[in-house]
Amino acid sequence: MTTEHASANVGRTQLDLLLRVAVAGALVGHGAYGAVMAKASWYGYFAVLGLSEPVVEAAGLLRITGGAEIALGLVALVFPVPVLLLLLTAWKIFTELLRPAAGEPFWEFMERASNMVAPLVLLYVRGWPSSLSKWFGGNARV
Amino acid sequence: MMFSTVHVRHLQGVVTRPTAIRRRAVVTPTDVLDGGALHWLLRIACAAEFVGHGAFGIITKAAWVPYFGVAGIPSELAWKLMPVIGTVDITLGLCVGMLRPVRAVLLYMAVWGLLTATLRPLSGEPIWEFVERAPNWAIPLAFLCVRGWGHSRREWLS
Repeated sequence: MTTEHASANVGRTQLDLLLRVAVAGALVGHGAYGAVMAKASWYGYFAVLGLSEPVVEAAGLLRITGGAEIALGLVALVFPVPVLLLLLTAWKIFTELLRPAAGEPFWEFMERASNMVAPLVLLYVRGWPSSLSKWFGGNARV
Repeated sequence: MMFSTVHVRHLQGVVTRPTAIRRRAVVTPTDVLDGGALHWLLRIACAAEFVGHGAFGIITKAAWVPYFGVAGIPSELAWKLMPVIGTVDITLGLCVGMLRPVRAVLLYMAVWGLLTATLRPLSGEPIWEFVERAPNWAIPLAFLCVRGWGHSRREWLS
């Protein structure tokens, strides 16, 4: 019994690490599109929000938004706090919805289901917090 | 990171077999929330990812041509193969989403997700295109981990 549980613990730890890497990858990679690559398609997404290209350029929104995504991705990798994972889920759904809203095929949104779901899956695997204070803590169930 | 015995049982049993919830005498809110929701989150994500990706194969996408080039496939053949790959992707996505999440299919999804993501930097795109697609292979692999590694051919096909 002890061996079986020890083995399962290792499996769960690996699953936790795998999902952390997935969440961080989705955020860091996507953030780099804006902060590092300055992808032209991002201007279309800002336009959906009523922000024209000159405004985005002047305010440096590509670098700010992309940089924030990279930072949050790295934080999620090291400190996957429940409230952060919930916010990242909402953020990913919001940003991916901008694609069809900007005129891209709906499949672009659908194809990224794993990117949107990854933070929520990590939250479930780590345990849904049972109190307000645990939303801001490390491990909800441990 | 340490987890209690209850959580280990939860991950091994309830999540892998949501129907097990119904068989148990006592059903807690946590069982329903985690067991069913986590299973379906992973299942829907895998299905949507492959149906969405496959749709681009069916409608064909010029950006895919260089990926075939990495494997030495000429563009004429690439355009013909796209709908085939798209059909396979959509079929497997629908199988996982609507029929059952067969372990062998989940393993294929993880390997295919990693392979297609790797083709992007190999075809000259920035490495970030690969990094951003980490969930494409990690989520099917996570689902496989949650379901449990198969120990026999029968388990892999179930």
